[in-house]
Amino acid sequence: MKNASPSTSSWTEGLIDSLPITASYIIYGAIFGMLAGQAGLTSWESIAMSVLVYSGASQFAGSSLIAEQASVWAIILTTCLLNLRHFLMGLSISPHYQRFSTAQVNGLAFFLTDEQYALTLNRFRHRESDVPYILSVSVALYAGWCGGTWIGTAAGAWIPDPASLGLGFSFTAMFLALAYYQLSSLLRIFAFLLCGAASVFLSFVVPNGLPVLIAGCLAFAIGYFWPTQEDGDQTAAEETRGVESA
Amino acid sequence: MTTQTLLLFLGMGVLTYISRRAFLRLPSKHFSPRLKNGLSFIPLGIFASLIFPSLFVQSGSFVIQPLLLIASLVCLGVMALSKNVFLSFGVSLGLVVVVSLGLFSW
Repeated sequence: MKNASPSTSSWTEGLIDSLPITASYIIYGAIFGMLAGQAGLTSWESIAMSVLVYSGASQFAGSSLIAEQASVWAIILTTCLLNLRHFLMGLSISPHYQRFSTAQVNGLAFFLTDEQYALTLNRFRHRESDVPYILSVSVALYAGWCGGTWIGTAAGAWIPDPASLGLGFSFTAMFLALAYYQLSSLLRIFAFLLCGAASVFLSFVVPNGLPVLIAGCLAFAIGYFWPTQEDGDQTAAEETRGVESA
Repeated sequence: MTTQTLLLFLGMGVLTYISRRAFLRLPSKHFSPRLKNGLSFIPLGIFASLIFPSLFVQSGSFVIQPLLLIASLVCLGVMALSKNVFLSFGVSLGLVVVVSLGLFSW
């Protein structure tokens, strides 16, 4: 496929862009594998969970519930709550998925994690969305997570505590760097700080997974009910185009 | 691996998949300019909600962690100067790791 240079470079760029997060996924996958082992899952069970579920939040919560001998329904309910945030992530990135076939969307949906969402959204701010890029980010992260889980089950207690190394900050650092591009106006900075404060408060009063959903809805409401000047101009321009084409 | 465990994982996997797929493609005729503006704000809320609790909440209580706050500002500062995600990620995470390991007296 030498003549398909745009898609070849999409593959490479996807791999490069996802590199720091792939490394973090390997480490966190390994921690999951280790904890799942302590929760009583066999190596195969831990790896099967990573391959089938592919959701860090649900898997950490699920394995700790398994360790506490919680009922299957408690685990299913927790998974549902933790997954609510995906509704909004899917919705917010959906304009970039309009040009893909149904089969492509069906396939790519499996890989929509917080980090994949952040990386691909950042790319599509200034580039047209394309399947090779999403797929290369997705496969790199998925391989990192599943491979990391395998390492964790094999290495057991040898994995150092990431908190003592400060590695917990790796996801925060990546989200912050990518959020920077979103802070393009005072209103957006205000919305960011307000949603952040609301999330901190909400994390004390509602179950895990809900703060992200509520903060996303809050941000949506601010953007919907308080259109900014810049966005208003854009709207006017779009309407003009609409008239021209009509 | 018992059948019940496998079924549980499959159930968790299916639920997770459905939540990811649900709104991933809506017909574009549903997107009014106003709705689009609202949608463009959603990432802000999601990022804020992924970032702030990780800085201010630890084991169920409110905490102020100066190292993480300074590293966050460094991350945004490097971003503002360089517009380079890798550099900002590397410098701010590096700062946290170096201080956490005690290589640099705080």
